[in-house]
Amino acid sequence: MSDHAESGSHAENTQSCHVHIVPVKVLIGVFLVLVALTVVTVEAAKYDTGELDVIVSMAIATVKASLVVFIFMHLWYDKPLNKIAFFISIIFAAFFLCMILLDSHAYDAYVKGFQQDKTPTVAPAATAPAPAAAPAPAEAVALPAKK
Amino acid sequence: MNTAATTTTDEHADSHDHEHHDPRLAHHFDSHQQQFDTGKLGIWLFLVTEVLFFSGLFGFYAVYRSLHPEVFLYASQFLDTVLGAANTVVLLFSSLTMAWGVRCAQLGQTRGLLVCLVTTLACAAIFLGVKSFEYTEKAHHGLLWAGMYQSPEHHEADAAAAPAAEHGETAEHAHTAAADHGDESLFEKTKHTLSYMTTVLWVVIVLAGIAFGVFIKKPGKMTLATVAGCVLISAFGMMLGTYASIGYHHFGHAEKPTDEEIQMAETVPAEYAKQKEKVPEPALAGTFFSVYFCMTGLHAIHIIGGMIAISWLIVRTVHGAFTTYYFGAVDFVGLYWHLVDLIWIYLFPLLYLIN
Amino acid sequence: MATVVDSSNPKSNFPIQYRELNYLNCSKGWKSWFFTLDHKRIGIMYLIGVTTSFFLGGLFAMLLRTELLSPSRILMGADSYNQMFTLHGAIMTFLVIIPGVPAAIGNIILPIMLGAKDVAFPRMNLGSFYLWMFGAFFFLAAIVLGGLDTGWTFYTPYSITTSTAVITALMGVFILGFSSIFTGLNFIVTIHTMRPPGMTWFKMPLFLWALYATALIQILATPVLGITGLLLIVERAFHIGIFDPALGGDPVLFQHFFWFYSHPAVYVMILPAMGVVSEVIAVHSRKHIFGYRFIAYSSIAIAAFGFLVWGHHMFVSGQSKVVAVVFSAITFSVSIPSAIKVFNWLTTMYKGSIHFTTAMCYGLSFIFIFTIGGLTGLFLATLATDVHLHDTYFVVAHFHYVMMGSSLVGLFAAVHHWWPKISGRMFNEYWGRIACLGVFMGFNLTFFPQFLLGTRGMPRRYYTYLPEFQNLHILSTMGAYLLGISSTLMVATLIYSIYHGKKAPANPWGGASLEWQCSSPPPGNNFDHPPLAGDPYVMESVVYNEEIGGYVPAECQGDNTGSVTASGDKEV
Repeated sequence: MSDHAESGSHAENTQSCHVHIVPVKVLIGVFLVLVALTVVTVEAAKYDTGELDVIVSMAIATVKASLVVFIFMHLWYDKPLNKIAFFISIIFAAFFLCMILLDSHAYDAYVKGFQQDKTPTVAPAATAPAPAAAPAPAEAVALPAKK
Repeated sequence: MNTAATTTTDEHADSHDHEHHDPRLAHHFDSHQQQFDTGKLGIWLFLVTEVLFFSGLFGFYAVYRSLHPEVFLYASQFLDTVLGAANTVVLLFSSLTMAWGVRCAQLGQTRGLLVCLVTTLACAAIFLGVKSFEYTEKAHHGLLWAGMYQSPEHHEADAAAAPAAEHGETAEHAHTAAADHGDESLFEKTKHTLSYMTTVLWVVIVLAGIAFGVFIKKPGKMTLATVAGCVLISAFGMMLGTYASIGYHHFGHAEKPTDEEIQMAETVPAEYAKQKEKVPEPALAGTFFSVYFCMTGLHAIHIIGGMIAISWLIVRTVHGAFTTYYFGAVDFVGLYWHLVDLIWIYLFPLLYLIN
Repeated sequence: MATVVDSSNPKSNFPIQYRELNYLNCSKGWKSWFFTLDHKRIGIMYLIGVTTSFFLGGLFAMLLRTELLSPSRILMGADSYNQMFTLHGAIMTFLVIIPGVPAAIGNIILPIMLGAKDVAFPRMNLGSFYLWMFGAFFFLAAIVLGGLDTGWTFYTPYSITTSTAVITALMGVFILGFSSIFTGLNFIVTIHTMRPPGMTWFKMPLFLWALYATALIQILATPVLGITGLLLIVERAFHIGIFDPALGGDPVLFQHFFWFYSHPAVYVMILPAMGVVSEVIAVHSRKHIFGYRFIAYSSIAIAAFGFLVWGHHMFVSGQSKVVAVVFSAITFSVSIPSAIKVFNWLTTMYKGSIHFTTAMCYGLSFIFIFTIGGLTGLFLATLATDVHLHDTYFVVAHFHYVMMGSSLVGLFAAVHHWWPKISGRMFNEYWGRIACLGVFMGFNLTFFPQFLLGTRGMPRRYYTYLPEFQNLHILSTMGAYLLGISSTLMVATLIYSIYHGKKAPANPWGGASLEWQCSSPPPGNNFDHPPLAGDPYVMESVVYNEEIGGYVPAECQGDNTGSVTASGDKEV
């Protein structure tokens, strides 16, 4: 802030704009931490920790993301409204993800069962670019009927 | 710098006039502070829409990864972690220079701002260069989205069937492989599209440059020279990225090739050739590449958008548009750029680091 | 009270009623319209575009209803019928109702209501209009390039396999989505940063609360529509296997993606109309709005609930049972804020001095129709009943009661309420009310029989039906014709007033919010000095003045000696 006061000393009333200025040392420090975390996440991925893998890599990514958001994007020093706006977007995205994950897992059994009944070899058909008219539309219609 | 001097004289001239004649203050705002805060809220809300825009793709990813984990495990081995990590660092560095640039703008350091913006632009171009190499390599091996996906196993069988094939004539292999599926023209077209991706990117950037020339109020020599400079930096950065990754690819994968490996390398991905015991390919392996191309493709489009915005900033900086009380545009483009970086921070482990 | 006082006649205390130089005539030539950054002009262009699309979509509706006069073929076969209802739905949804109140009326009124000179980002506002034009162009292109027969919902896998112009139409939807996002973004920022001195959040007119809630939905939901459209385009063009079951994709996932936007979008359509009705009922009942805070909060509550209920469109799509029960329960709770609004409007009218102006008539029609539309929604939210009623005319009637009968009637109310402000002319109340009666009767005659048809098992989207349904179908078609004629009459009355109507006073209805303080039509920059805002619903602050034919601030009424149609800045 003091930096700004010096350079903007001759600014008039309407010609002033008070913002937080991040020192260079902090910027470079954050960058070095980010690079270090990238190396850590690459190394961590080499060890097979099973289920934990996703959690570890996502946790590291979230730490990195927070650094970028709070320091590089100044959100830490920003108005509360901007913080709220950003976190609402994260909450809504998370909510959307949770709902579709919850639901697609719930009806996955129907889909798998249907595929086994109908087309036992669905995979190699993946190379056919144009979906054949025959089996494709049938699924959506048949699904509710199976219940 | 000359421009900085002009800026200060402008300020003094302005101070005699009525406040609304300040060309940097839109007529419906009372003060620069209000104008800045308004813009800041606007850009944050725009970032909100961007996050939700990408959330659709993350949903795509989450659903298919949780339902078919074996597909992601199998297919992600074909992505080059080193290139991905290098790209991450490049993008992080561009974020650093962007944040530094915002600092320079806030302090009125025009020259520092210019250096930072140019570095950011160059980093973005290097990122795209590496990306276009990766895309081309994937296309070369038929590792495309579900509708175009060609199994490496298929290539292998193909290579075994035609052992006399000469080195370097890979197009023919792909050709024969594709012909089996009866969608040769479509496959070839896709491959070419991706191979010439760099060209397309250049065209976009050149067009954007022309658009600058048209839209800038006083298209003088300086503007045109700056636009040309931005285009050159972008082109050079992309070439640097592409050739660096080609060099890395040859160095990394062709160290001690056996004859068999050389022959294989022409048709199948190196990762597949190196596999000690072949993991059976799961069904729907192409879905991973659908996710990969959708996510990184949309991200790349955002990078291009960012490059255009940064070039626009460079032009305005050269004209001395930014002062200690008017630097909103730099800050807002910076926020957008950091968000693009943020998305990559998540994309990298999600796509490249699956074990 | 900082009203704009007649500058040409220092003796007068009256606010300026009419200026020779206003936003409509302050600059001339097509460039001054097509490249304007003035929110009012952009709003007018939106209004013209929306009206044109409304008549195009209405024409399709007339053709559909004509075809349904008899079970046999009259005008078109099954395929053309499919295309016709798809285009009717897509045009009415994306081109008319969604931009109707927020982009057209909101653009004109919101900054004036805030006492601001313009919206926060005027260039983005103009860009948003051109995106709308561009999206509309893609829709027209889709009609030319082989039509569209997927229904406006683009359900997969049919939308992947059909040979019609799905990609073109989806491009249109994608672009229109961004137009909507930019409008919403502009409104949120404007309301946050440009409120005048004295206007706290709870002194904002309720129309602004409604627009704010709408804008929240536009910001948070529309991007998902954008990515859904994009993914479907990519799926159709490149076969990425996300929605296509032949490649291992998941069609139900598409429905989740689509309804995550499109259910909140229903509230993008209805919320602004509710805001309009809150204004209209209070002003024309000459009474302070009842339960201000409840109406304000209920707008936000509806927006919030709107995000949590999209699954009720998918009860029979193969969605899991747990999720269906959750969605059903939350859907019921949406009725709470909606009912709060209806009760508050009714209580506002209680013991008010109700003026049956055209705008008020539309407002009352809204309350009647919305109540039916809202309550029939509860039938569809009930899981067991929905299985019976799903994809029947009951659903068609329900959403027309809400989307057409409520949203569009709300738009009509808004246009009539603010027409003097927008055009500077008074329309003919007699013909306006006749048109309103026709719209009300025609609407109910069209869609009430469809409730009956639906409960008896008439499926939607069929171009033919069993003979026993014919009587009700004929009734419905007759109603549709009446509706078509009445809306034409409404537009004709308004257009006639532009050329032959008498000049409007600044405040013809006696509203107390800021937009009635500037002259009609407003000058280019709305207010010379930022006005001071008070409570927007104290109707006693203005009194009727015979001489002017409108309302003037109570403190000016004492010594009324000034000229009433003062000339503007030009002659000074």
